[in-house]
Amino acid sequence: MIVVILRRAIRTVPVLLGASVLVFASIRLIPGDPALIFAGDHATPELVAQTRRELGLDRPLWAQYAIFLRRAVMGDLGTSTRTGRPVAGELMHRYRMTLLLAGAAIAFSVTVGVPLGIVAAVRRGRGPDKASVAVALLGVSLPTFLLGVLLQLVLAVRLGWFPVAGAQSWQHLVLPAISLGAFPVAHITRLLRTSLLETLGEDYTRTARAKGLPESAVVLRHALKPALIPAVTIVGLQFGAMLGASVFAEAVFTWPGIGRYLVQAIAFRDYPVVQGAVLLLAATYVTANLAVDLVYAWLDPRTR
Amino acid sequence: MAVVAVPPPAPGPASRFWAQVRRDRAGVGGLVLFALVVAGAVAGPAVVPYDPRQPNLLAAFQPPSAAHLLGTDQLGRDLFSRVVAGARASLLGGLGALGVSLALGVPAGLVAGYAGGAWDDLLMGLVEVLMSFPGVLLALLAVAVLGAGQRNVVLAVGLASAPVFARLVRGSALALREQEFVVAARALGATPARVVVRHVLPGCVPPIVVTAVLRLGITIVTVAGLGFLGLGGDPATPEWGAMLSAGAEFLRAAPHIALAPGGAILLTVLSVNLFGDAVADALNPRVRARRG
Repeated sequence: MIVVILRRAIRTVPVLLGASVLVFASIRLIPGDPALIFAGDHATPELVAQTRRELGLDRPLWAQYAIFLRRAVMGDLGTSTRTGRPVAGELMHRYRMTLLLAGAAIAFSVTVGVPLGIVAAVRRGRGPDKASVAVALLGVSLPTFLLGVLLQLVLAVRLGWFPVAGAQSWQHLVLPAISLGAFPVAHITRLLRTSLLETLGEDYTRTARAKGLPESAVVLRHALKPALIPAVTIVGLQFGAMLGASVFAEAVFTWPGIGRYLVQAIAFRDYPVVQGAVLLLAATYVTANLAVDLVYAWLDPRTR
Repeated sequence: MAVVAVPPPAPGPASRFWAQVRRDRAGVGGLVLFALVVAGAVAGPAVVPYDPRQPNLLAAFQPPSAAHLLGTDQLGRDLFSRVVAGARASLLGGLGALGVSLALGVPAGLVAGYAGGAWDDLLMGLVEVLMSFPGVLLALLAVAVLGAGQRNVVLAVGLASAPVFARLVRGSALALREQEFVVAARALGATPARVVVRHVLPGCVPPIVVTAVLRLGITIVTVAGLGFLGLGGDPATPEWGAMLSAGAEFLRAAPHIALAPGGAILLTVLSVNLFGDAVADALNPRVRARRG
């Protein structure tokens, strides 16, 4: 088991390094003097010269990358050209807000998706099953930003149940979390339905039924547990995907997360922030995928 | 006169495919809806009642009426005209991004799968790195480098989707490489380029088609999403994502400004997904066997 964990964890190191090379190289592809790009369009000549020294821009490219990587690992992501403050500090609070939003969205999608998937499998081919197909189709066809605007219109502007935008209280979290969590609901429902239909046909389920257990106990205690294993994978992968999709929910509800900050940084050509935010999100994504694999290995005795 | 019964020609794979798709009622509905969107994209600017770019502040914020089927927006532009004209940007955007990802991903997958060795390691290493980013994030990074604007958004979304096709085609090419007809072509002295193009690539087409039709919904949504974020450039150009974002400012007073482009996005993506599922089912031998 420990070997499996170590082997899998070690495999993420080259991927993370590759991601850092990609981010480093992309920003260097922007036409113009990198010292100006990192110091900002309105920087004083002294600041430009200082930036040039700090980033080692007079040295070969690989040395510049080494400086970039060493500083990134130490938590130094440079200085925002817009605010003049360290990028790492600016990102941290917003990063936590994005994780909070993604966590709430996952909680929503599991709370809705798991029961829907169970009902669809147990009532296979009947009303609830067909309804779950429709919900799933709608879920994948309603992009986060559109669903967000619709929720805002109906539940906030018209009915006044939730605040329209902002992040002052837990009520502010509800609508962005639903708009971000709707897409995974569809995935979880369909996947759990399929895997539950499989385990409901297995021998151990028939045994449980044969010994006279009520159907609810057969489903919940015997068939559901193995069927949840593939769903765990989807939940983990969806959590990673949300780190990207959260940009849209944050834009609709002016949620002060890292995605909204990144889009603003792109608009203001604040490249140190772009670089830092992308790097942080990619690292989180890779780590989340690693965690999924490890949880999967732990849950599924066959891979142990 | 003797009548000779001529057996009808056996249906080719293409007509069998269409017969299969036709049997899927939801798929046909999706196709009809999608055809409407395509018609709007093709004929759009020529048939719409008003100039979609011309502001008319005296007519701003009008609700839907006989003169303005979907009402007017905050600058008094006719929303019906803008929605129809916007089909072009959204559809071309989604298809263009799909084209970019195919143009990048398919050759990379063919080379990696057929040549193997160092090429495979290099290309798949790159794919793994690209896949270590959530797709949207990769597209955002590309827009940051290329600059905002509709053309760059399409390029960025295409780039972000390319790894999917590279990985898919590599798998198919790897399996086909050892097939007898490919080995035979090699033994007859065909150049690697010829073997790949004439013998390996055709075998990769069905999975490419399935993935591409299922992917189109995603590329349309992502292009519209980046437009929603304000990265699509010129705000006068009718584009559904940017229109939705502008309309979201006026939800209280004039919700129709957001609902018109929002409905267009939903119907388009729904139609693409319904049709895509039908195509995927028709090309999937397991589903075909179950139905046939």
